[in-house]
Amino acid sequence: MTVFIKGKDAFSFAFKQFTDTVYRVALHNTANSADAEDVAQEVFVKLLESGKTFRDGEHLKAWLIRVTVNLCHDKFRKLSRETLVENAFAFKTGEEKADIVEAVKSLPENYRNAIYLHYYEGYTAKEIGKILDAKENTVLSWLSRGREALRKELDGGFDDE
Amino acid sequence: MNKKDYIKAVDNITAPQSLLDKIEALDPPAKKKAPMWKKITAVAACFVAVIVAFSGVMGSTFKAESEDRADMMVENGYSNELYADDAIGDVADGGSFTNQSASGTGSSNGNPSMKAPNRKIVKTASLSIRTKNYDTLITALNQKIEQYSGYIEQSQEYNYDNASNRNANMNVRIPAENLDKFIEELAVIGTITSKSITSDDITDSYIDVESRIKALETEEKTLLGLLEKAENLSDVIQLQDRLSQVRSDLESLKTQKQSYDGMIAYSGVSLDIQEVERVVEGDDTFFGEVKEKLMNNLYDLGDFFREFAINFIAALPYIAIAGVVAVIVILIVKKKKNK
Repeated sequence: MTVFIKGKDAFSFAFKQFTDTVYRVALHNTANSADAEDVAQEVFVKLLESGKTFRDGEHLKAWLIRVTVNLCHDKFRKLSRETLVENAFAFKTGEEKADIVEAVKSLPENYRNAIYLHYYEGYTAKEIGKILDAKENTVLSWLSRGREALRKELDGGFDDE
Repeated sequence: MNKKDYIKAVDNITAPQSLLDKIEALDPPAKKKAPMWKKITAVAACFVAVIVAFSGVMGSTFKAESEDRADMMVENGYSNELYADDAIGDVADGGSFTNQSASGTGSSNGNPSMKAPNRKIVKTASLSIRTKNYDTLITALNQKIEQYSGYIEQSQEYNYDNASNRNANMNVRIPAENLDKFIEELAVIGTITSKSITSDDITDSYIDVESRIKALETEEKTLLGLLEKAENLSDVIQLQDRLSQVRSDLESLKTQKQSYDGMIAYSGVSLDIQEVERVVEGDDTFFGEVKEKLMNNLYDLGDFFREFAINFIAALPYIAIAGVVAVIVILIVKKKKNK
């Protein structure tokens, strides 16, 4: 059975359930927490303005992630990934304790989003493909290349176990 | 370092309080309980109808009516607890409203005749429209706006899903006398899933502004008269001081009156347009909901067959190869048997 969520319900549902998700996605795609906050706020404005009807919570969540990624993409297109991770150099040289989130953030946009959505949110490659508008195989290769890059940069790699 | 560390690290990222506050502030104060209301009223109406019919059958007299009403209230209260435990105060009102309509007075919306002449009414409408043909709808909409001499105040379009899922928000102003016709026409070019029209009576504030303007104008004239007669400099300065204040007040009041006039002459219509693959009409009745759910499931079923057909056709090359192999095997087996 299909349950529709729309308008204000969608907003309060999203606020209760997915604010952290939106913020996390935003943080993965912005240089600092202030930018991430701005983006997250904007996502909720978009949600209010859109008045969209969602099939269920998952549909709403996927929409929120997609909008967040797109907004970050539009806003921070000009920033290179070196700027995105302020201490990118530091953890490569081992001067500072490696921060795994920073390491993921240092990956190219698609890699890092795929890694986040797969390993943290538990989406399959097919679902990620739907959210990020890519083919399943493309997502799989993002994931494996992302893992490969992380393995090189982090001690002990980034294994599934 | 592995997946678990990553999950742990991300777990520690939570939306800061400042963000939560900001988002919460976005939440518009709204008619939150409207749909719940309808349900409560409907349920209460059913109860009342059943009880009235029942008491009729039992042969109760008019004298017993007050007792019946008390019973009804209890029943309504109960139904309220069942359906909305956070709205007990509202429930009592809902109960009395349904009592009225059940007893046949039906006076809930008989207001038009009460409209006094010269009331200053600001009408606003808010509509949700769904359409399968987004482009056609937008073109037709623009035509209608022009036809009824309205204009677009603001318009935004989004497309975050895929190409067949566009979204637009528009604020349109339509001359108040054309509003009803405009909405009627909209129902023809798209499917209206929700509609609300609000009339705001601003007569009091309007009259207030008007009378203040009159008073200030009189004062202005008096001041001008005094100014002509004034002989010493300090009087002139004082008078001019007051005069310039009166004039600036007049200006702002006149601007306000103009904006009132604009609001009265042009109704604001906010449109929320959504492109959908299929249109489901909003219907709150029991059968409406059954119909809606049924349609959804049929649609899902159709979707399943569609997917199945696509996969089947996509698999044809393999099926063909398998077929050829099967034929060859059968032929070989037959030949061997013949020998």
